[in-house]
Amino acid sequence: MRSHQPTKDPTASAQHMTILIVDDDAITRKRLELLAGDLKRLFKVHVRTCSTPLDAIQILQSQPIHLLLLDKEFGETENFENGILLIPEFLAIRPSLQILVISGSDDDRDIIQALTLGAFGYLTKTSHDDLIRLQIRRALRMAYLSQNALNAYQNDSKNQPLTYQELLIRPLDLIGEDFPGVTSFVRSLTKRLLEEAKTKFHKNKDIAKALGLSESRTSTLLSELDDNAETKPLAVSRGETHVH
Amino acid sequence: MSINPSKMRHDLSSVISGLRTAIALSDGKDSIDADGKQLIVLSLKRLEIIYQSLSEKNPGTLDGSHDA
Repeated sequence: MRSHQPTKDPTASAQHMTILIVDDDAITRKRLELLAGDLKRLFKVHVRTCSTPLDAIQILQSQPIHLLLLDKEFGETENFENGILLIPEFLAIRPSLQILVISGSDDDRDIIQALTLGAFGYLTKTSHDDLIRLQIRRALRMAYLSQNALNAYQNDSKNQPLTYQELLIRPLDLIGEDFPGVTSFVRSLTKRLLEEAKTKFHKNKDIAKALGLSESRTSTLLSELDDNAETKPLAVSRGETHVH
Repeated sequence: MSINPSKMRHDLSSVISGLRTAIALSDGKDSIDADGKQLIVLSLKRLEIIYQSLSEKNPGTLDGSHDA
């Protein structure tokens, strides 16, 4: 239903996001294309479709895809190719890719397997339109954050502190408190960046300057850092990001 | 070839979801747009395949792959 009118997403001004729909069911492809296309009011979204996992792999290897809407069963029911088992292969091609499995199966074992292998989420094909739109929107935000995190750490070796500003300010401002998992992810990044800056600079104004933040914002973040001993560390290596 | 209940359930859920979305797309509008119409046509085609598979003359249609 189109009863809700969400406000424009702050991520919209950031970058184009490309969604790839992989499903051998023409009805589902068209349905998801329309639902994802609805988000063009909120994001700069480009939607592509294909009908086989092999096509998906070829597209992923040649084009920047941010979100994959993935079916589970491809081909005949009795001898189908399991899309869930291909999740690691998709992520190996593009580590910041977010994968939302949309399957005809509501078996908990499939859901657990998909999430364990790295899917962002799992929906059934009978899910309400609004739920599918919401999950796509959440996954796009995570894709945006993941891509920015990768970019920042890939730039880290070049000492470009302005990318820190992107990480610290924009995601925190756009996610609010609606998505605790994402908030935790960004705060763990914030903690790491602040700790690194504290090792290099002794005064708040120097830290603020290095990170491209105001002094007041820096003081607030530093005090939160001191108060928040529960934030878990973020392990990041070049080209790969893991949240513990 | 026999009718596969799992396949039929899967196909019917796809048809139902497709038609629901097509109806939702027309909410607040006087007519159904081209996208909604395409979704309805795809759903109708799938229903025809299901219907044919249930006829005595052609019981195995549902065992085929999807219309990729």
